[in-house]
Formats: sequence, structure tokens, C-alpha cells
Amino acid sequence: MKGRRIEARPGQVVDRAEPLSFQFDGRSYTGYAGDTIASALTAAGVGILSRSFKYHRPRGLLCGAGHCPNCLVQIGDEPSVRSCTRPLEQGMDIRSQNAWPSLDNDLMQLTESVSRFLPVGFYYKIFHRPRFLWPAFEHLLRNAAGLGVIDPQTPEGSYDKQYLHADVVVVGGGPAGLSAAVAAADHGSRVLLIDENADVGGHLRFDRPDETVTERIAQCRKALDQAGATILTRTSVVGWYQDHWLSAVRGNRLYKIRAGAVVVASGAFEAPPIFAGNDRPGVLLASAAQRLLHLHGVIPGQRGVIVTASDAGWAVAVDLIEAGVDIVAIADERPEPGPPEQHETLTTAGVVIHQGYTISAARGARGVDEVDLVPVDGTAAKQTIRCDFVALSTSWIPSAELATMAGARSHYDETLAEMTLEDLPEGIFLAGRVAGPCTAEQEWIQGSAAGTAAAAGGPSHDSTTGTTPIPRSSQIVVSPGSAGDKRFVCFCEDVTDTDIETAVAEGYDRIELLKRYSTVGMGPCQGRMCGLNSIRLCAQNTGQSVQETGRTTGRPPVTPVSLGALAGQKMEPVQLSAIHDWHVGHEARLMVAGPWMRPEHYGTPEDEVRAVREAAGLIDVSPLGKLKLTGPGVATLLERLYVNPWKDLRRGRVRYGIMCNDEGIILDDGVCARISDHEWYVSTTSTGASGAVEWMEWWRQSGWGDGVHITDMTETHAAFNLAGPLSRQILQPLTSRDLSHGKFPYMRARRAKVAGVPCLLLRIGFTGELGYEIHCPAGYARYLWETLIEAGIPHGLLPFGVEAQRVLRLEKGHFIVGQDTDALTDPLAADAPWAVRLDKDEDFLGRRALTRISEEGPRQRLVGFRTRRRADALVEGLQVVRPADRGAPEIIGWISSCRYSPTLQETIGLCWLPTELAEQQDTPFHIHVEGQLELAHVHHGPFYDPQGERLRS
Amino acid sequence: MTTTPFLTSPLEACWTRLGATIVEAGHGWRVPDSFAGHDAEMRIARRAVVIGDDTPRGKFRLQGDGAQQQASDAIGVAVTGTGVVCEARVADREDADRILQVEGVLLRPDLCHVGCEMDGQTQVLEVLTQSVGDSDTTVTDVTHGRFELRVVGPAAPVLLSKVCGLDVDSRAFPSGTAMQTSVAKTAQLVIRSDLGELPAYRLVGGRALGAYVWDTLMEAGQELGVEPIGAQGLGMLTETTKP
Repeated sequence: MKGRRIEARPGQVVDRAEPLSFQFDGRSYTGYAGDTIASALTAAGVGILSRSFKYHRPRGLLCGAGHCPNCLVQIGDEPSVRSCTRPLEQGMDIRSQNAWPSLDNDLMQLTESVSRFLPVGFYYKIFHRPRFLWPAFEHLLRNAAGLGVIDPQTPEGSYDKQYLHADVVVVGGGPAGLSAAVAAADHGSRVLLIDENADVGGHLRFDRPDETVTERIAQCRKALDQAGATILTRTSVVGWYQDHWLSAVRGNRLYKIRAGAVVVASGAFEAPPIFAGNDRPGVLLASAAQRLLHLHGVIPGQRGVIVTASDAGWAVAVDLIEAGVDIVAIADERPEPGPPEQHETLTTAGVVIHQGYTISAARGARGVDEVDLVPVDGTAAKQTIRCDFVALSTSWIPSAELATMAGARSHYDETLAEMTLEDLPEGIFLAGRVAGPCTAEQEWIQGSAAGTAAAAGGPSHDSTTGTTPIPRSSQIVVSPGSAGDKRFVCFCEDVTDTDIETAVAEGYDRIELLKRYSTVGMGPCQGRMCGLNSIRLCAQNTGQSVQETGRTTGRPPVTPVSLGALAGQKMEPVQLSAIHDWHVGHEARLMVAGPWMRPEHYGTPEDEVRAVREAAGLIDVSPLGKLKLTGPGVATLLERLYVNPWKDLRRGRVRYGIMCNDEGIILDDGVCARISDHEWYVSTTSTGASGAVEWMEWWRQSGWGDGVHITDMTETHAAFNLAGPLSRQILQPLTSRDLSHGKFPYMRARRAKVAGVPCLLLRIGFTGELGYEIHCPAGYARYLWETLIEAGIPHGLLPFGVEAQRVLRLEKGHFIVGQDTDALTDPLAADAPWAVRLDKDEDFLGRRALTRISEEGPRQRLVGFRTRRRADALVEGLQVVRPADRGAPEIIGWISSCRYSPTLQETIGLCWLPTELAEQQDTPFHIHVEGQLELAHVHHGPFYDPQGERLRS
Repeated sequence: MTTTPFLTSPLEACWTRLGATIVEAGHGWRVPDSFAGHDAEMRIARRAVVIGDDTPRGKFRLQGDGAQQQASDAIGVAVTGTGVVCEARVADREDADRILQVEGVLLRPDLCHVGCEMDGQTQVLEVLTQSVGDSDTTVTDVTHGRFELRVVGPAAPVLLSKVCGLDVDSRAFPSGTAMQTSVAKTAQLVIRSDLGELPAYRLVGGRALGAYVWDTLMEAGQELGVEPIGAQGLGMLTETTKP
């Protein structure tokens, strides 16, 4: 033995040929590959691993299984890492957390000296008055609370998710889980075996392992590999959801698992008893000592005491003696002696055996120096024994969280002093220690039965039926005669038995209330260490039975999950136009527009506006919704969905339409072209395309679309708008179609080949200039766009983006659905009464509401305005106000669009005003801008080319 | 001025970034011929997983109550239950020695997807149009509106399991079946079409999302050793795995 590291033995997972150096709080240490951080630190004699949450008491290794908070450390920018399960890596820079200035000398431990002023729930009672001091208190509390440090500058990590499917999912890779998985695989099921440890085998890996057991585990593994079963180790199943939908976490990956049936073979874990000083470094669970010993070749100390309530503690004592540890005493609360063989071994080794005894206190300067053992019946004096560690094996808690989440009911078995499970839901099977005490051989048998039943789709059952329960857990709640130090129930939140007593006395006498008030069970271990103890204490203080007290509701996640794992790989679908690469290559500034990425501009929007007004511009409008509607009933369907008339639209013609809901609210707008008697081409807004398609499809399937088929062509067709007085000159050489006004007038649609590409041309003009919307198969988009640009450059054509388009349409006074309209806007108020045909033959969505609005008149109207104020100061959304003689001005409207017009060389916009103000041209009103009132005047109609002559040129 | 129309896939920038050699295939489509050389790409396909762009394949939709029957009549094989891929071999009228591979998938009782090789697009569209005749069924060529990716290799099911919630294992989703589902949060038609022993999937989705889906798959597949495969490698892989 060298220090606390014993000689190598079969079954140990450390590789002594591969030393690893690392740092803990700036000091250098060496461990081995296969070590956990905690095992390496324990081997190096480091006893204090962390400080407690509230009192900053020193804490050392307790559970060794990743359950408790005692060994939480910070690694780089990752806080609260469980050092007892995190594998050691070369060069790790590990730091303690929640201690200042150092782990060994933490000044915050002074809080314990004022603990009488910090009773349970103190934060509900103090710091509230005087009220003006709360910010100072808050600052203080925020600095004092919490574990670890998060670095906001941490680079984005790599996280992802994976979906898994299996006929049978087995949770737990111990003997019961392994045999269940093998049995299910033998049955032909697709099996997924999940275990949170580094390897399968469960407690057999460290609970007195021998070659026979190791061979049996290897055979199971081989059988599973041959059957194609999936085995996930170092993976924690953290939640059960409806229909056997499980979530599991392995490192940075979240698994979402759909299971046909679930075998819960998650075993049981030890929990500490309640006695004075039960949190001191050097007090650890016996299973933690076994893990250290058998997996890592490390002993927890040189001189130890074992405290037990079953044969398990005797086995640990023998193991430690064989490893060269001086076990000075064993306290077994049972009156009868332990197993004869082990009894003899301990007697031979000179161990003092205390039958009917338990521990009442642990004391020491920095760890454990001595313990008090007391008779459980109080008939004799306490025995004080010097030692440097104490291993506890008194209580076992079935790891039943998943089964209870699935709906199994908990029942407290007074004989076993454990919670057992009843009424298992369909498809949930229990096997092994989770179902109750049993021998290892019984676990193998139960697992096999559960695996077979799960694979066969049989009824859920508790596989322990027929096995002989072996009582193992202690009946003692708080050790008798325990005094002189705090007795912790919850190690995460520093809740003591006195705190529970106080909380119950204050009226928090229901377990759910008690949990919320005292925070017992709300820390990182989520009640694993304290769950049963807190229930039993609550019961003791209320006079109820444990069964009557009940337990708190278990919810996912069972163990902590990083937010990164929940988020997974970044998946934010973004739609790109067919010529997106061209935009990027030409230094377009891109913007997000609904689900699309679009060019906002290519440098200077004002130049782009001028080009359109004076020569020509080309904009990519591919994101526009584009629908092909076919069938004899299209016109009727459109009549019902739009406020406009459609039946009279002749072939080859285009009309602007507004779509409303049944309250007359504008949903979308666009143009509809009648291609043939039974084929229409309908465009919608870019951001509203998917909604419009769903809306149309819904009404079509509701019976309004007699023989109509709707095909979304949004991504099949690219679309460009060639606009400007020279657009005809640019386009004409590329097509044989006569583009003259006489042959192809305004608001007409024509099929034509442009530069050899089959296109649909719509002569429309959102910009207010002569223009052609060119729709082509998206595969040709790059070719056609480049061809048009090339043809237009000699004429002064510029590509233009969304920003220029916004200015151009504003100069024409056109509104944009979603920007200038909101969820209360109807077309009459939006200054588009010309589009509404209340008298058309077909009934239509919104008719009744629009009829009423038409009769009563809208209360607000969308109108244009002019102002001398610079446009960049007039943010869209600013309020229109009516000045008051006294007090704040009255809000009477808002600005929906505002831009500087390079064409008109003034600031123009659209705004919502009360009808009485909006009715009169040039009516003055005020816009509230940064505390000042800015004068503006109402403008009716388009600002630019009010007669629309340029459109029709 | 450019005079010959060419066609581009929505993934062109993705392959260009990855160093593809670009060639012009038939009908003007520009395709990635190769990335790391077809031999290397095929090796990775057999060992890990590759992703290839098959966007130029013809894609058609038949909509209407008679869609199932008319699609069956057109391709000469009964398009049966929803989600079943019905493969047909149609003689190429341009080249008597050539056989066109066509597949039909019933997506819902009144909606049918028909896919075919790039060279057969015109012919397949014609036979579909003829089959529909004057009926109320609508035939639409959606080739330009959909990207098509091939995900091939033993690790392909694992890769898809990282972006798709449905069970893509052979036992639940065997070759010759199809499903409409969410892949990387986008709506797609997934067709299982193994290449011999190699698991292989076709992902058909909205063109505008093509680059996003490609990038997402490449990122998700990093740990699996995913690599792109060019048209040449994909073609040879298909040929060499034919029964």
C-alpha cells in the first residue's frame, strides 16, 4: 500500500500505467486513468471537497455514486460537477466552489455561528423590512447563494439530441437489468439497456466482486452484443413521460426514447442516518467505501468504524480489513450477531463488535477524529472511539423515481422500513433491489422473469413475487442521544432535524408544504439522500404514520440536466431564396423576414430607390407565397375567401385581393391571376404564406372547395420584380412576347419564355412604376437573375432590396399587412374600401362584420402623413397624441410606417388616426417623439404619381 | 451575356464550400461531380455515412380523388397503401436500351408523389399528364420546388435518429417504405431505398430549406464521420449495389 492507494487487484478500473496529473484549487496532484476526480483526491489524502450551501461546513466524499452534493466541484467554466462520477482527465483544472477565500479557510462558515438567527425559512421572515434596504439585502443574498460560477463568455458547446426506439428498455445494468435485457433479447425484442455507471454490472462490480460474477457479466454482455442490443453506459434516465417516452442524458447529449415496455432495474442506494456531525468529511456511506476500494484501489482512511443495520456492513468491514485498513469497531443496531464467517474474521482482526449499537455523533477538527456509539435501547453508556473515518450502511432507498413517475404507487413497509411500489402501470416491470430487498441470485432470477414478461407484452407485475424479503434498513429516524452538533437531514440545503421540527410546529405539517418551506429535497440530489428521512421526521413530528404522511411528487429530471443538453444542436430552419448565393456574393446586407433570409439592401437604399424611379431595379421577391389553384370551383372559393369579386375576372387578367377572417380582420393580401378557366395563380405576402395556405386549405376541405386543388408553389417558383421606366426596354430583347402596353397592359398575366426560360409574367406594380413580376422555375433562378442583371446594367439597373421596396411602396401609399395592419384592422379602416364588394353574389368571410363597420363607419383610419422631422428620428410605433393643457397628452393613434423619400425629398409615412382627424387632407396632428411634440399633416392618396400614370405607361 | 440556361440546386453553395468539382449534367443541371474522389467517397459510404445531392431528380405530385389510380396507370405498377414505395421500370423512349426507374408513393388517399431519374422527367410528366387526361386530378411538376438528399451508409440510421423522431431502423422502416415527417424541424418526405446491404434514405423537402438541412445533417453527422458524396460516386454506388 502506498498512502491510501492499495495494490492492484482484478476488477479495479484504474490503469496504473497511465498516470494523470491535475490541479485542485491550484495544487498539483496525480491520479490514474480510470479514477474519478474524487477517488484521485481521496487517494491523495484530500478530505474536504466542498463547502455546504448554507453554513459552509466542510464536506467530503459521502455517496460516491453521484447522488449527493458533497463532492460538487467546478471544472473550468462548468459548475457543480459531481467529482465522484466524473472521470479524471489529464491536465484538469478543478476548483472548489462556494468557499471564500479558500476551501480550507472559508470565511462564510461564520454563518454557522449565527445560525440561531437563520432558522428554517428565514428568508421568508427577515430582510423584508425596512423596505429600502432590500436592494442591499438582495445583493448580499445573491452573492452568498448558489453554487459555482457561470461564465457568460463561455464559447458555445457542442450539444445534441438523439431519438432511440426499443421494444424493451431496461433501466439499470446490474444483475437484474442484465438478465432482463438478455431475456428480452432472447425473445427477439429490440433491447436498449441503460446504466448510469461506467460499465454494466451494477453493485456486483464493487460489492465483493469475484471471478464468477465477472464472467457472468461478460457473458451477458456478449449475449446482448450478439442480439444487437444497444447498451448505453454513463447514461442517466431522467424522466418518464406518457406512453413510455423516456428522457436520458449522457454528457452533452439528450436521448429521447420511445419504449414498448420498460423494465426498471435501477436498484437501490444507501442513505445516511441522522446523528450529530453526520456531514463531517470522513463520514461516508459503506457503498462509497466499496467503490473506492474495489474500483479504484483506494481506502477511505487508515482507522475506521463501521455502522450498520444489516449484514452488508459486515461484508464491508471484512473487505476493508483485507485491504489493510484498521477497523476498530463495528456497531450493528441489531441485537443478533452478523454472519458467522465474517464475525470470526472481525474477531480475529481485533474488531470490537457492538451489537445493538448505533452511532450518535462524529467529531473532529477538520474531519472525523472520534465517534460516539450508543446502545439503541439506551441501556448502556456511550462508547467513544477514535478513528479517521466511519462507513455507514443503515438504510437503502429503492431507486423508484421512474416507476412512480409512470404512475406506480408508493407504500411504506413498516417491516422493511422502506418504500415499496404497488399498482404498476401497463408496460412497467420491476426487477431487483428496486422492488425490495433480495439476494444477488434473486436479482438475476427476477430480471429474467421481468425481461421475458416485458418482451412478451404481458401484464405488468412486480417480479419480486415469491422471493423472500431480507430486512436491511434501519428503523431508527434520529440516533438516540445524538447531541453536540447539527444533525443534517438534507445535505444539499443544510436542513437539520430541528429545522423540520420547527417547520412542522409553524404549521407546515404536510410533506409537500414542508418541502417548499424548508427546501428539504430541493437541492442537487433531489431528495435522494433525504427523501425518506424527511418523511419519517415529518411523520414523527405530526404523529402520523409514514404511510399517512405520504411522499412528495417525483417529477423529471431525476438528476440535474444541463440547459445545453435540453437545447441540443442548434436547429433554426431558415429559408433561402434560389438566388441567395448571388445576394451573398454581391454584399447584400441580409435580414430575417419571417422564415426567410432576404437582402435588405446592397449598399445604399437611396440609390436603389432612385434607380427604380429613374431607370430600373430588380428585386428578388421569391419569398412571396405562390399558389396554384385548379378546378372548376376556384372562382367560387376565392369569392368566399376574399372581400373582392373574382367570378368576373377574365383569363389573363390579374386583380389585387384582400383576405379577411369572419370578423372582417385583414389576414393577408396579394394578387390573383386567372391563367385559364380552371387554373389560377395566387400570390400571398411573404411572411403570411404558410398561414394563408393553411387557411385556404382548411376552407377547401371544409366543403367550400368543390373539386379545387391547392398546390403550394412558393418554393417551386422563384420570382423577381423588374421595375422602373426602362424595365420594358430591358426585358423586351429577352423574350418574343410583345411587351408593349397595348399587347400587355397593366394588371395582366402572360406566359412567356424569357432568355429561354419558361416564365409567367405579371404586369403589376407595387413600386408604382412600370414593372413586371417574373415567375420562373426555381432551378433557373440564378441563370435568369444574372441574365436580367446583365441586360439591365447598360440601362442603369440596380438590384434593390427590401428597404428600397419599403420606401417605394410608401411613396405610393401602399400598406404592408402585418406592419401597417394589426389584429384589429379591417380593410375599410385601412383605406381600402374600394376592394370590398359587400354586394357581391357569393357570401364571403367577413361580410357580416364589414357590413356593420360600413354602416357605423370605422373609428380609426390608416392615412398618410408628411412631416419636416427627419425620418430616422421617427421610429415606427411612435404615438400620435393630442396635446393637453395640463398633464400628459392623450394618445390617439400611432405611426405604422415612416421613411425619408429620396424622390419627394421629405419624410412621409402611414399612421392610424381617429376618423375625424383622418378625414381632412392636411389636418395637423402631433407625434410624440422623445418627449417633444412633432407636427405632421394628413395626406390622402399616393404621395407619388397619384394618378398611376407611370404604372400604366 | 450568358445564353444557355442552366439549373442550380439549392445546395450549390454547400458543395462549393466543401470543394466539390462541379459539372453540368443533362438538362442543364449543375451537379457536384466529386468531392474527395469517388473511390474515397464510396469507401466512406460503406464504412460510415455519406450525403449526396440528388435534387435534379424529377418530382411530381398528383392531387385528386383519382390520383392513386392514375399514377398506377401511368407508371405501370399499382401504387398501393400509404407509405409504400412502388417502384417501376419504364422503357426510355429516347433510348431503347435504357430503363427509367420511377417510384410512386401514396401520401394520402388523394395525393401521390412520383419520383424519377433526371433523364426521365419529360417522359414521366407526359405519361402522367396523359393518364390524368380531362379528369379532375391535378399534376404538378415540383422538381424545382424540392431538394432531394441521399443519406447512405451503415451509420445513416444513427445520423437520422439525431434529427428525426420517427423510428428509422430497418425493422420499423424497411427499404421500400416512405413517411412524411419532421427532419431537423422541417417537413420532409423520407423514402427508405437501401443500396444492397447499405441503409439509404432519400429526403425530399422544400427547396428553400435545402441548405439548412444539408448543413444540419453535416453537423449532426460529424461524430459519425459523415462526408459528402458526388454524383459520380453516388451513381457508381447505386450501380455496384444493384442485385
